[in-house]
Amino acid sequence: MNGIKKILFLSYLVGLCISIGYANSSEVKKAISSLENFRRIIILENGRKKPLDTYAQNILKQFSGKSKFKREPAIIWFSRVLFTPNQSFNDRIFLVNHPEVLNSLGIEIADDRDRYSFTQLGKIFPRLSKLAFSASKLKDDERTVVENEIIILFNKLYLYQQLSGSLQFAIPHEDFTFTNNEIKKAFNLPESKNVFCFLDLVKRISILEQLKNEILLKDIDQRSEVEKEIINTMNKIQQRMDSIQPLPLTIIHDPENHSENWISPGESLYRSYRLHKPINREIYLLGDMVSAFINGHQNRFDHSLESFNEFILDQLKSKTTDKKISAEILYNQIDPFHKSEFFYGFSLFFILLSLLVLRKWLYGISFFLLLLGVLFHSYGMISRMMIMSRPPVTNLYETFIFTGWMTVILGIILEFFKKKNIGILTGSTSGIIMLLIAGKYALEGDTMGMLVAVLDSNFWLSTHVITITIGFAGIVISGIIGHVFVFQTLFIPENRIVLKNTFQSIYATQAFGLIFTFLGTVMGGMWADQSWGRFWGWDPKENGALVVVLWSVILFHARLSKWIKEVGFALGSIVGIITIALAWFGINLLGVGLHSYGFTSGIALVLIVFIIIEFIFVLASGVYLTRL
Amino acid sequence: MKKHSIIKLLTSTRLTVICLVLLIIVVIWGTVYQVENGLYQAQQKFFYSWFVFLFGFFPIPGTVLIFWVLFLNVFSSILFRIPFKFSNLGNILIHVGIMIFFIGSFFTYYYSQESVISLKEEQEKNFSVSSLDWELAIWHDQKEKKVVYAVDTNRLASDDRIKFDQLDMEIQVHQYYKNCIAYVKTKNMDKVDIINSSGIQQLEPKTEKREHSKNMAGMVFSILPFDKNSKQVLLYGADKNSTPILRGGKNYYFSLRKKRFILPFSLRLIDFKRTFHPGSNIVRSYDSKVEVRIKELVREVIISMNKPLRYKNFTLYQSSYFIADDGTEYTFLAVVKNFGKLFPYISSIIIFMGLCIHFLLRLIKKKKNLRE
Repeated sequence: MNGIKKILFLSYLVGLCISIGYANSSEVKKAISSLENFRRIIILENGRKKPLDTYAQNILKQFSGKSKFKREPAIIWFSRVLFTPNQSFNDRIFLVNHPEVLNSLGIEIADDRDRYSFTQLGKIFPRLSKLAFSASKLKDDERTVVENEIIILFNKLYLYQQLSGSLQFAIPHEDFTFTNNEIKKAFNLPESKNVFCFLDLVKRISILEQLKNEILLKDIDQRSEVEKEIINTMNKIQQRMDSIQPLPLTIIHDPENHSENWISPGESLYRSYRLHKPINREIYLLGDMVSAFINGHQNRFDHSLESFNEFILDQLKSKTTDKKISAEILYNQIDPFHKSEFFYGFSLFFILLSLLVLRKWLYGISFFLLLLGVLFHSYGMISRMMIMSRPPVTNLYETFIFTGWMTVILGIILEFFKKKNIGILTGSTSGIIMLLIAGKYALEGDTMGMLVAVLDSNFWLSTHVITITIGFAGIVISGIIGHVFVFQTLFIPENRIVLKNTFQSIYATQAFGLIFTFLGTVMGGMWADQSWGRFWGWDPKENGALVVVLWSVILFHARLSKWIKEVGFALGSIVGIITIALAWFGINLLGVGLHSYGFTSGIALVLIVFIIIEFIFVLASGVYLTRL
Repeated sequence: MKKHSIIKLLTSTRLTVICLVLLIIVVIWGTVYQVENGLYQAQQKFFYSWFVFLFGFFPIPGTVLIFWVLFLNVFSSILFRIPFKFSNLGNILIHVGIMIFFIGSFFTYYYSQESVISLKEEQEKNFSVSSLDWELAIWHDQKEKKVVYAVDTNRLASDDRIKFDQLDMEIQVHQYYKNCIAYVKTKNMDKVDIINSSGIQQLEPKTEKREHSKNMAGMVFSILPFDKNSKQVLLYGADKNSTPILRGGKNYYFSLRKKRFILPFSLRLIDFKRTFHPGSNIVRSYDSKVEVRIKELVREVIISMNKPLRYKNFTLYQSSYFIADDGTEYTFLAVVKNFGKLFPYISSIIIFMGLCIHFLLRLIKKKKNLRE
């Protein structure tokens, strides 16, 4: 961060934002009712073309930790940020995770929830900028949690300001107020209006420059008031040009320089101005959209939007992009993993109820809900594969989604063969846990990010990663059934048939898990050999997978050598979940090695608590059951 | 037939469990150790060692010892414990696969070799350089082909002697440091009789770095026999100049440098390319376009992430790159020579087949028992 420059730029932006807000606050007449086509605008972010709908959701998640604002889709909030920024200033969207951040900024802590509006935080912006600047000078490992939070908050506000200014060129602004008809005539502006937008003037830039050149030939003393106003306006245009160039929102396709080059409206205007080229058609269409939105003209808004989208798609000359955009919007609207969570949750509720009151119809409902959940879960995964044209597991978020799905499938298979509730119980429990963990990762931003070079291999991603994840799912299910077995041994020790059945499930799923984890680990070695020329390098991620395999092999050999019996095997399968948790999160927490690309933060405490609880459970049940 | 007690011990599944538990401990310990001490130190201390010393003195088996015991355990189990019948087919295959895996591991452990070849655009090289090990290289004025005599200094210590029979020369090492910093002569320094072509006069030892490749070795030695004109020679790893010594009318050149490996081919970097995903800083690919010269045969190859160059037992993969301020591009290709590279593939296939057959036969047996 080029600190002072950035602070100056930001302070200017803050002023600009607020002034835009006040400038057009009286312009708002009625609201646009449909933003259906607005979702479809294509934006290029971090190497990926995505619908604005996804972008808006990701931004809102980053800011507030939620994908909706006041139960409204993110796109509605986002449209306000772009078209009428002043109407979003009081939206309490900025989540501050640490109360000390607010203390250090001198803000009163809110009673209800730790989210704050731009109006609240804008007041302390200069102080926040200074603190963030100081914190950013420290090395990563030297920063405290509070300092990290300060940087995060600063970045959120910075992005918000940039976004709220990205279509400002089409919003009427008091800087461009002309009451003198002589000036309007000279600028070729309509006499019916007094307040104009930046775009109104840039459109007439050639007239203005000609006037300016003529005026500059005169001495300053000889210039009339109108001529001074013209020079003053030209200076404002120049300043505004410099400020809008770095603004985000890369929604304009620029095939001139590179087939995959996208630029923001600010950049597009800047280039037209600097290179004396005609303004792009997209800019006019965006200008129309802004005007229609502010004035509540739905038809005009839709028409401009449709023309904008068609124009971009025509330039892309790719039918698949349009299909993928449609698929992604549908995926966002259906929100399949949330629905799966809901169905798994109720499936778990009903199966527990059926175990308590022993009603068969409750069992049926539970199984049906589990199937419904897995249906949405499968749809979500297939959609993602189609949108990204790649295998289902490419990042940490997707490993939880896929493992969750696999555990539910295994649960359904178990239930299909055994019909003893265990499949539903374990499937719904693991499904909901995995999706909840995945949900936490989704808050970090786009879950469909592009792959770094080392991972960019569809063959190995679809073999090694999937295989090992299937293996992990088997071992997780085995561990969950292990819990069930322990409870059954404690509460119904006399029912040998039930215990035998449950143990067989543990054994089978553990064997399944071992086969696939082993195969996945070996394939990882093969990928390493293909990419790095060596099969094994004792890298932490490799070691993590090895520990999972070794533990499973130990269980089978310990049972073979009669060191452990059924209870021991069940308890060992619970420890298997711990080995997986360590391989999954623990290795990333170490932050070393060639595989540390999926770095995890802030989960160390949860991981430690989970491990301690599971160990206490295993030890306590082990001691108690061996005494029986 | 009553089994001999040693065979009984070697074939015991309890011995397997003990070994595997120890292996888990060593693997976890070695992994955590990497955070503070880096991969190289962890490999040396835990994964390529016979013993790991708890609290610095209490020995527990290291990975090499555990692997040897497991190898004997698996080998004896195949010979004496697991009966050769169809129902044990899976089990036998698993254990045979594991044995092949161990054999491959031993080959890799004892005979594999890792090095790096760094090339700037248009540069051609026929050797790679170790990123960890150093060598003392000596050559002398020759009209024809330059012949270099080199000794590995990996295990060198102060007061050691090294003999170069072909050169009829023996040297006495006074100081050898795996990591040190060098000082040129300053006014405050006492006058010492040290020869170094770059003017370095003193070495100061430093603790070894977490990243072993960043250590800078240094040594001071004398050429035997000593006489009243004998001077000490100082060599430093970062010193680009070799130090010449006049002996018997010939100029001998001395250099302490990263260990070199002569390759059976030469490489010339034509171009290095880094591609980003559009509108982002996420790198899509790193590609090194090289010209490979094997005797008279010349061909162009692109080495990129996940697409290494393979030649006989050598694998060259894209490891790193550097772009200088003047725009000159450098590529770093890791060179791995491994004779045992096929073993893991063969063993993995056999183990996987064995696992599938074993659990399938168990399932069939269980179903049969239930029916009966």
